[in-house]
Amino acid sequence: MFLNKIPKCLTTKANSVPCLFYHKNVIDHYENPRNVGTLNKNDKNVGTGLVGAPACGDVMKLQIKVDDGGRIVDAKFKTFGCGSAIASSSLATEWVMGKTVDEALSLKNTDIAKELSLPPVKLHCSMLAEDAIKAALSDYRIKQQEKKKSEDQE
Amino acid sequence: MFVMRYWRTSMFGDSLLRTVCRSVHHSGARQFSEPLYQQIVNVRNNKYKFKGHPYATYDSFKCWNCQTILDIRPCLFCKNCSKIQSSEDQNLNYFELFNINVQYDIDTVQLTTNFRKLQNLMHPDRFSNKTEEEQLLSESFSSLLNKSYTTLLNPLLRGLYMLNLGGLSIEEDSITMDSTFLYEIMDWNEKVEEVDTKESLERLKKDVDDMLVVLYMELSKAFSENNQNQAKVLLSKAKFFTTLLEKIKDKDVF
Repeated sequence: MFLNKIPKCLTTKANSVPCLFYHKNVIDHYENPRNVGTLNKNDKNVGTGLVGAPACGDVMKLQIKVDDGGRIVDAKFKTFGCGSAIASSSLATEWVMGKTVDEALSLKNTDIAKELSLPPVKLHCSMLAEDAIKAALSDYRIKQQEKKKSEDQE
Repeated sequence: MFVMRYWRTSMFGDSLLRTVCRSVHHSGARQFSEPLYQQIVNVRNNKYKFKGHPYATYDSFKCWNCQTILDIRPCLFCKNCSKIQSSEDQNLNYFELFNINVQYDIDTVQLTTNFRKLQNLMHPDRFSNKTEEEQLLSESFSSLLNKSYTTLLNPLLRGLYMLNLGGLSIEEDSITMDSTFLYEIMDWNEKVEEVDTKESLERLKKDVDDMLVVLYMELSKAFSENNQNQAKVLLSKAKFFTTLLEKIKDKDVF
């Protein structure tokens, strides 16, 4: 068969990102993702955001650790999805680090999309990252309110 | 040449056309009692809803070649000049195309049989010595057949298509999934990532397959009860598991 002449690496399904279609920032974040990992989700100072995109079946977990001064000292993510989703969440953790909770809230998906030069079909990945940050921040707020309430009761 | 054409019309006339005709007439899709002018106006304004299928609008159309009004759906060849008809003009939904009821539980054997019969009639190979116009029509008809067959055969795609027919889709607004389900999916993904032997990967694949079977059973129930919102949630879940399954298939374990 003529297929025998083609090198095997071309006929087997490639697992890496097709470099031709992605911006170099996406490739960079995809190949060297920043801040991958998990924080203790039961910690009072940790906010966890878990979001999913039903349209493509991607899941994204983003966690932030906030110090007593209201500044984000650590951020971790874990994403199962396409290259753009991984790059978006990686970039998001990088950006929220060192910011205050309110500053982090003002982070927009358009900023992420612009930095990564995402094409229109991949804009929802950056939206997913924004949703994940919002979810993590609101989780943190709820935890803080509960903490305050229990302290008041004591 | 003559034999070919005769064979085709006879085959078409014998089996397929008659079943199609019967089903349309039995469902009582149209009985005209108004003057012709009014009929045409009504048809143009899509006034006639096709009663056999809840989602489809029914409108008759003219043969592109001889202008005969054709009112059988799906119409493959003109009853007057036996030229191939356009699939686009008829605005068929996939279920109508294969002459099966719009429901989630379909008889896949019947679907495949109908698909093969139709493709046998409409495939471009049969039109290689016809005019260019007919060749183009056969190409688009044939590709529509392929597209709708793969859609209807796949349980997820079929569900999504039925959701679309009902005017909903899981793409337009990202519905928020409950966090317990998302944690569950996260766990599944982690399991797939950590897996290192072929046996455990196989086991994992079987587990995901089982989850999908349960989901599709619930989905069928939701569709039969016409619960579109429930169907939407179930389809979103099924999408997550299908993505997971693709990841399992892509994973190389030695």
